[in-house]
This record gives sequence, C-alpha cells and structure tokens, in this order.
Amino acid sequence: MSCSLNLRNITYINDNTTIFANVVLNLGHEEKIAIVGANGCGKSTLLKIMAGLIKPSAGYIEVFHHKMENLKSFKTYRNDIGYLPQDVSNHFLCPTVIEDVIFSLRANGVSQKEALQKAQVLLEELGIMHLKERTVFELSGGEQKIVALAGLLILEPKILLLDEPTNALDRQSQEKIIALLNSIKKSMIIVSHHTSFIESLTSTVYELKDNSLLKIE
Amino acid sequence: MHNDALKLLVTLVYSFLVAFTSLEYFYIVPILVVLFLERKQLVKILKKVVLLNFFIVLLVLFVAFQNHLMAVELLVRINCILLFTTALFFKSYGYDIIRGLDTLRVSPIFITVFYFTLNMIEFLMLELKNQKNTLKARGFRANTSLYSYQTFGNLFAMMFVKAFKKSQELQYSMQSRGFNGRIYLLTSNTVLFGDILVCVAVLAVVIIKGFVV
Repeated sequence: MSCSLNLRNITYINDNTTIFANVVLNLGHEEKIAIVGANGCGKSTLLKIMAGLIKPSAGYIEVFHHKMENLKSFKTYRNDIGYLPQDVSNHFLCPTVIEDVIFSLRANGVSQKEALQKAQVLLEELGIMHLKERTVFELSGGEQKIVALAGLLILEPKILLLDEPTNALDRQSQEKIIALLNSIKKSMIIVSHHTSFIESLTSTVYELKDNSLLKIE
Repeated sequence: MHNDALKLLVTLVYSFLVAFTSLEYFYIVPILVVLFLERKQLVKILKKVVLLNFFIVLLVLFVAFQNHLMAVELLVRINCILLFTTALFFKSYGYDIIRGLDTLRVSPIFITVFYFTLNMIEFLMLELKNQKNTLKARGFRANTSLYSYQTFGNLFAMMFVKAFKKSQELQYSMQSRGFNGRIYLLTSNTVLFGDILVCVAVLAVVIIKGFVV
C-alpha cells in the first residue's frame, strides 16, 4: 500500500519536557487512523506537526515519500493536507459560510465564478446549502464543524487531519459528522475521545501514552 | 439604507459638509430622511444619541467657558453628524462596513487587518462578558480593596493570554488554508429605493449649499 504520510522518529520537547519521543506512523492511501490518549498528552501537537505547523524537536515527516526538511517544505503540499483544528472558530477566515468555503480556492487563484460553482455543488452534497449566507460565528457547533470541513474539502485534499471533529457536539450532530466522514474516501488521521465514533470510522487505533505512540490491537 | 458602500460615501460627504461649512437649516433634511426610513427604530436611535451626548456635553462645556456661541454650534454640528451616522448604521454590523470598504476598492490589506481586528474585539468582548459572569457566579463583589484590584489584574492577564493563544491558532489556520495576505468577500451592489432617497437628499444639500446659498 502506498503511503500518504510517514512520521519518522518524531520527538517533541517543550520547555525541557518531552511530550512524545520517537513516534513512528505510516498513513496509507485512503486509510483512516485514530489517535487517542489522555488530556494534555500531546495529540493535538502531534497533529499540528503532521500538518506542518509546528517544527518537531527531532525526526522528520515524509509526505507522499518526499522528506519535509523544514516547515517551508510543506508549502508544496499545503493543498494536499487539510487540517481541522479542535476549536473551529479559529478556522474561519471570512464572515459568511460561502465566503469561507471558497476562501482557499480564491487564495489559490481560482476565479470567483468557478469557486462559487464548486462550492454550490459541495454545499449541496453536504446538505448545508441553507447556511450559505449565514455568518459563520452565528452557527451552532455542529454546523460550524461541517462548514469548516467543507472549507477543507473544497480543495480536494488527499490527507485529512482532524482534531476532535465531534468534540462538544450533540448526538445528532455527531452522527451527521460520522456519516459525512464515512462517505469521504481519503487518508485520514483523527484525534478523538469518543470511542464509539472511532470504532465506526477507523480501522487502526493508536494511543499516545507515556511519551510514545502505541498501536492498539 | 441597504447598500454598504453608499452608506459610507454619504456619511463621508455629509460629515465633511456639516463639519467644514457654515451651519444651515436644511442640513436637517438628510437626517429626517434617514430617520423616516428607520422610523421603527426611532426611539432606540434617539436613546443611543442621547447617551452619547453625555460625553459630548462634557467636551462642549470646556469650549463654553471661552465662547458660548461656538459651544452651541459645536454641539449642533456633532449631533447632526452623530444622528445621521447612528440612524444610517443602526442595523449594520461591523462586517457591513468591511463590505462597503471592499466595494469602494479600499486596499485589501487594510480590509483584512480591519476584519481581523474586529474579530479580535468581538472575541475579547465575549471573553470579558464570560469572565464577568464567572466572577458574579463565584460571589465576587467589586470594591476598593486590594483583593478586587488583584482579581481584575488576573482577569486582564488571562484575557491577554487567551488573545495571544487565539491569534496563534488563527495563524495556524492561515498557514494551513493558504492565506496570502487578504480575505475574499462577495459584495453585492444592490441599490434600493431608500438608498436613492438618502443619496438624493445629501446631494441636494450639497448642491444647495454649493450653488444656491
């Protein structure tokens, strides 16, 4: 199986404290992996390292078998990696849903007309067409997560890195997100606390414990 | 009024006219037009202007010691601009102003900085409200003791840290989403009857002042 993302002995030290050390992970093509672990064990930090937002203290990452020498190396693969933060309110860069969804396309030089056409199709698929004109900050938590996902999916990334996608959501919204993520055929790394959510979505589960990442059989 | 760009333009023109030319009775016409269009919100608009006048009166009082007539004139001018602007932007959100600026082809960098500043102000206001509620819920009563000052000091320090964290997370989002220094807005240029009416009123005042009086 060809790999989308490889973590090679990733170590992260913050203020002389080792958060995790020698983390090795291979994410295959269209594979869905979950990472679980106690609060504050460094799951989100690990995801940020994978997204090329934080520099690891040691080790390196390979994206599609290309070694990332530094954070700038990720620039080439920025559109191939979609990162959803834990607090999606920080994800929005434009005031309304439609403006935020088309943002990445517009930033990549796609014309407004073309971007809007693509967004219309995506919003229709995700069932959030009715939210199109709404202000992102006025949406419910579940709606915000789906809109944020739409903002990622519009670029058709090959890898999705999702930090607690069902965090603080009611059951109905959780089910909606699960159904949506199940329908997406992409390589995915999901950080979550919800075991039922992980079981219904991923085949492989890793646990970040005692500074290392261990596969749960 | 509906069109954000026109709102900004008429406000600019009217404010300059009232501020830099001799006062005329017909300057009230645009105000009356806007108040007529926003008649359902009339009481709320007037309340807001009266509230703002508490600060203005203090300012005017200083001038009144030197020149009574100038003080009255200053009060009238400020209130004309204030009433016109408040009525015009009463139903607007900050984002409408951003859209207006975008339609007027103001620099995208300025618009982006303005937008994120507005976002941060909203975030801090919400944070302050939450912190105040927490203090209330935990039985804190503000007085002139050292403890109160320390509590408020901690509160502002916490807000500072949260603002710092928020901006860092925003930076991550910008990096991961390919932010290139500007945001992209979809602005509509729909002009309604109310927009035309206010524009005509302001234009008429400008023409009368410039060519007739």
